[in-house]
Amino acid sequence: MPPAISTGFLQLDRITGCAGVPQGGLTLLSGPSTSGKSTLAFKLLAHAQHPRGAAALLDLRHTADPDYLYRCGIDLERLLVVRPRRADESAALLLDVIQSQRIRCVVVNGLLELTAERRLERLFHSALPTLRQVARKAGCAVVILAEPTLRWHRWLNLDNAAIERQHAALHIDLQREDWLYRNQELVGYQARAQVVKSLWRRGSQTTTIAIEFNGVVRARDSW
Amino acid sequence: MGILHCSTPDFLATLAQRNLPAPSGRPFALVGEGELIWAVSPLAQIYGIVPDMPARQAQARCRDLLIYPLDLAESEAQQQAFLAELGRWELPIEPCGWGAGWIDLHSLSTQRDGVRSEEVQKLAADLGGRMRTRLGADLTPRLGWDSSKFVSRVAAHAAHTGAMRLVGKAEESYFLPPQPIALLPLPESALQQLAWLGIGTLGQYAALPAAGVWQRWGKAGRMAQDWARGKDNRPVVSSLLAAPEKIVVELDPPTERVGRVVADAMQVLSPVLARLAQDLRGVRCMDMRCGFITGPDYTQKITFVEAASDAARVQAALAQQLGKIIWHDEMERLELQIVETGELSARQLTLFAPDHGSEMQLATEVAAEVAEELSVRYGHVVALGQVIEPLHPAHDCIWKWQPL
Repeated sequence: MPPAISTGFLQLDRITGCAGVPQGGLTLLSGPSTSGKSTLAFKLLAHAQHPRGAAALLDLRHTADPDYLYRCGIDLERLLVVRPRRADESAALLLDVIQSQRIRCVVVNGLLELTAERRLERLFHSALPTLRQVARKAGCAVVILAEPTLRWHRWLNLDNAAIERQHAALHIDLQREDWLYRNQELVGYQARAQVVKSLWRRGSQTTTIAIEFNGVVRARDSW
Repeated sequence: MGILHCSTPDFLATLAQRNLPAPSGRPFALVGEGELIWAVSPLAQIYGIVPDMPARQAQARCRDLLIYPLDLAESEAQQQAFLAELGRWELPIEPCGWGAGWIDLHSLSTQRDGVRSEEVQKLAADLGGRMRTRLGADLTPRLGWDSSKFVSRVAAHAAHTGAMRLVGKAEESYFLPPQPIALLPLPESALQQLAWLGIGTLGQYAALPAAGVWQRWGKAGRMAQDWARGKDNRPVVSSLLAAPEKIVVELDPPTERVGRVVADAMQVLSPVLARLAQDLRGVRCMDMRCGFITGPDYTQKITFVEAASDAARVQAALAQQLGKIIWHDEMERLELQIVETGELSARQLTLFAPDHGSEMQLATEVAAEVAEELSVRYGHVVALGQVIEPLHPAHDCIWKWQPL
């Protein structure tokens, strides 16, 4: 079992098979908007920084909010936020960040921007084997956030994430289930996390995680 | 011998555990105002999580930590019930934090030529039984008895749950020396320095030269040394001040900026806190009253999880409370009234390096180096974050694009 970075959710760590997200491997986090994949990724970055590590966020959507990242527990002074000016330099930037061998975890937000055009898609897919090799050598966890793929997209060969899923050592799919209320006040939401693929576990496993808003982003086991 | 110390360890955590779902065997902490830890479960204490720590820092130390909100009203109600049981004999009592307090038995000794240990044991059994009945079996107290407050507290610490430890004057000479020095309410920096000097017990601290202790740690350090030697003449007094100290800050000209109000208030409050710290005491509860140019005054009670004498801690609490209220006009006056004080709590040495250690600095430099290398190659595409005024409730987080 490789060294891993905790997701911050004990139940989720248990079902990944490697006690979290593997260092030196590719992890795919898929889910629709507001499913919690960004929050989960940010909590991963916070755990990657503990106790003394640096992390990076490839912010292709230019939506990284420093206040929310801070509230997720990230030390902003040890977080690199990278926003490529041109889409075709994203893959090269990502490789350079990992090759520095000083970054413990990189989150790529999101896969849709990385493969927006056919040309960019081919570029990134051709860089994937090198990416895996470099990440393995550097011991860096690479986490890619992706939109979910509908079944009919796969039937019609319109699945953009098929190759990434093949290369990923771990694939977690998130679906928001319910909003959480306390005294009629919205305090967070509950999401279903399914480990679709794991190199260290057979079959697919599901668990529920609860994320609370306001102030510190708190992880709760579901009961 | 005339002072009985009664303490219920992990009072708040045990109360909270009653309302939690089926125990998951995971460490948990209770978070109160300002996202600070108020209480920690015994399992979480192993990770070095202590009260008054920011919740972020606690989560970074323990990945499995569960965080629950503190029900302050329920906790205060149970604390009042605890104090009511302590005061059932109509003797002077002094609270010492959540679920702990002293009872002065000297009035019994003057009547009966010294309280005998058999009588105190009967009193202790009665007190323990009443506590178990009123508060529940999970809040069974530990009792300690001696002629001074500090030694009775140490004796209670050494006792098992549901038991009492009696220490006499003759026993103090061999009971106190082996006890850990972390039982003294010294600041963490002083405990660190003592740890580096190889001083870990009360006996070793008591053996230090008095002049050196005074020079290094001032009056507070000397007072703590006297306690370590068994010389503690403090009487048991109610922590509620008979004449609460009132501090009035006139804001001229009136202002609507929280920063200025806090700065002016701390100018007046800092000497008071320093004076309390010299006596190893701190503020436990404070009333705040804000006077605006127009409209009604706003009052708020500020409660600290432990007695606070650190100016930064009090400043953060003030800033947080002032940031929460709705300012319908400029503020022209701020009144602060210290209602309750208490003995500073004994800080434990934490097990892990603090967040501002050299290793964190190294990681920050690493991030800056990587950012510089990438920016040389790709231009202004890399940013590092910065938090401006992290203690302020409305702190600002910004990106700093490299190169600057």
